[in-house]
Amino acid sequence: MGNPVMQWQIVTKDPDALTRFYASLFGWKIETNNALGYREVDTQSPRGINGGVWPSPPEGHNLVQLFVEVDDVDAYIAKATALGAKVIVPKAELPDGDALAIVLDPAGLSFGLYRPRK
Amino acid sequence: MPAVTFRIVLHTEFDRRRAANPRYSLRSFARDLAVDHSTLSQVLRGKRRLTGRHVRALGRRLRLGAPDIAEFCALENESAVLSALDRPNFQADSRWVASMVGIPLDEVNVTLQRLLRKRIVTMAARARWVRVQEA
Repeated sequence: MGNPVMQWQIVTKDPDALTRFYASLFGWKIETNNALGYREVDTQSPRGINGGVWPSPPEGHNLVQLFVEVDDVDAYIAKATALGAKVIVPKAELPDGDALAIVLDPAGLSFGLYRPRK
Repeated sequence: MPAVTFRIVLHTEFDRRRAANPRYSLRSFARDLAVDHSTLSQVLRGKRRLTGRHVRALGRRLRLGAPDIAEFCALENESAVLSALDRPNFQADSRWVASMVGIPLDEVNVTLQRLLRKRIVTMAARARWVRVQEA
């Protein structure tokens, strides 16, 4: 099955403004009807991948993360850390059934190890 | 990085001013901080939760730096979100948490991620958010 990039995520201090910007620019649809109120972005195309927008803390930076699908988040955390990555946010079983951990690669870029709901 | 709560900062500052001037009262302190004295009294006694707005306003009047004020706000939010997790009717839903503790949804989510990062809370199952250590 491989490990496809399943989703992008914009992390920003002003998620409402940025969501409005991209929705206005591209006509992307935003859905927040989920337990975290997460801004799920549907690009309205069968090609490419969809994304989401997440708030950053006031002292944080605006950034984009990629979520890579794995079948076992814990196993990939172990593998990634053995290869020099650092865990920023430990694995969380999200309310809608997905599991996610956020990891820093050896260059300092954060990405998600993501197991979609079954 | 603050290692104490904002309430302790307020107590310490009040004690310091009283030590310098024995006639310095809670009303004096409230006046100098431009806050209602009964509100300040409740905050100092732990009967009232500090909001981010309070922390920012009082922090500026106490001449705290912006990074310290941001950290105190974050700590107050942590305390608020943890109090929601401790409720018997807890729902693993950020909007529910926001409505219970009176802070905006985005701040709840930032705080949840912070608590996860600090390993104070785990999301061990889809509806099970558990405090695993004290903040």
